[in-house]
Amino acid sequence: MGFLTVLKKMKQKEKEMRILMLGLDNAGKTTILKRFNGEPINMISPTLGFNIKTLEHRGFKLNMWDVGGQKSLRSYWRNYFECTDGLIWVVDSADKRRLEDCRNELLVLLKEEVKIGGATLLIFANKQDLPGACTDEELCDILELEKIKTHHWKIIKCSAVTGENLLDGIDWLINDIAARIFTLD
Amino acid sequence: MTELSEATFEYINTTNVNSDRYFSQIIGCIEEIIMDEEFIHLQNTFMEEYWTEFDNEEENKLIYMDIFKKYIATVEKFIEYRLLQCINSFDMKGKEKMNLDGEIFEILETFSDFEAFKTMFLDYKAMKEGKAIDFSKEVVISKCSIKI
Ligand SMILES: Nc1nc2c(ncn2[C@@H]2O[C@H](COP(=O)(O)OP(=O)(O)O)[C@@H](O)[C@H]2O)c(=O)[nH]1
Ligand SMILES: [Mg+2]
Repeated sequence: MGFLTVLKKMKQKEKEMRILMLGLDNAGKTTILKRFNGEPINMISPTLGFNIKTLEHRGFKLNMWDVGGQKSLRSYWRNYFECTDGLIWVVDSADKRRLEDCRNELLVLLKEEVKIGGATLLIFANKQDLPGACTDEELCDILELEKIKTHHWKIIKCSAVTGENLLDGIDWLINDIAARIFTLD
Repeated sequence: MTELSEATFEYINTTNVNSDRYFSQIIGCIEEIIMDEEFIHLQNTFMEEYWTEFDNEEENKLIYMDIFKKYIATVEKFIEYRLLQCINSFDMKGKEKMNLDGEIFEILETFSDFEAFKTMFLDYKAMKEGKAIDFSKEVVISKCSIKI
């Protein structure tokens, strides 16, 4: 770690958090980000690079990073791990054919990420507004979440379209990170 | 990172910064280093090499991140190298720099801030393409509240 990063960490006492949002393409990551930011969500094209938004919520400054999730882009995810406090893994709960792929990618991701940080993990079971979407319990089984011992995690069902539960998810994430980081000193 | 500068920053981390002369001297050094023409030249050379990769779009290209990491490494290497020379020539009884207002930290922080980095490149690009800089777009970080 270079000294600029050290400096950054020293200054982190100012209630700032870095959140990295990942998941398969089409899961709804960019929609969630825009939704949080109060931007229109009807014209979002697939992400080929990455987006950053800085949000303020409950006195915290959240630096949200949303990186494209297409297969060819996934090897770049690790470039974004450094200094990440919270990971949001977004799942398209209605895309049952790709849930196995989704589970495998999450597994690979966590194995790599834990070497660097062990960030708090929020799983958004997105697109709950669609008929036939898996429930959070079903996803918990299919994604084998109970096996995760390396990260604090929680699954929350939500919809980026209706806005349902998005804030509950963020609140849980903030609380867990705050408890891990800020109460230490 | 050199051992010395690692030790230095550990030292900063564990010392009452306001009262410490050694710390003041280091800050003085860093100040001089980043004002130095050589440092500005280093930055310009770096931007000259990569500015064509940048576009004024909201979505960032993946390559920005690679360039950003290279930038941080380049800046760090330069400052550390010069800092080492500077610290070696410390006159421990020399004059102190007082009244640190933390501004230097803000400047150092911008070196590792992605948004500031992108803005710097977009400004450079605008300059290269002969466009005037639109200062209304200068805001580096847009703070917004969650609006659900
Ligand atoms: N019905 C429904 N569609 C959604 C939801 N979230 C995202 N979408 C749609 O899913 C598609 C992919 O969304 P996008 O945000 O680009 O996914 P990303 O690839 O993970 O960034 C878009 O057509 C969105 O409108 C949701 O909660 N419900
Ligand atoms: Mg996207």
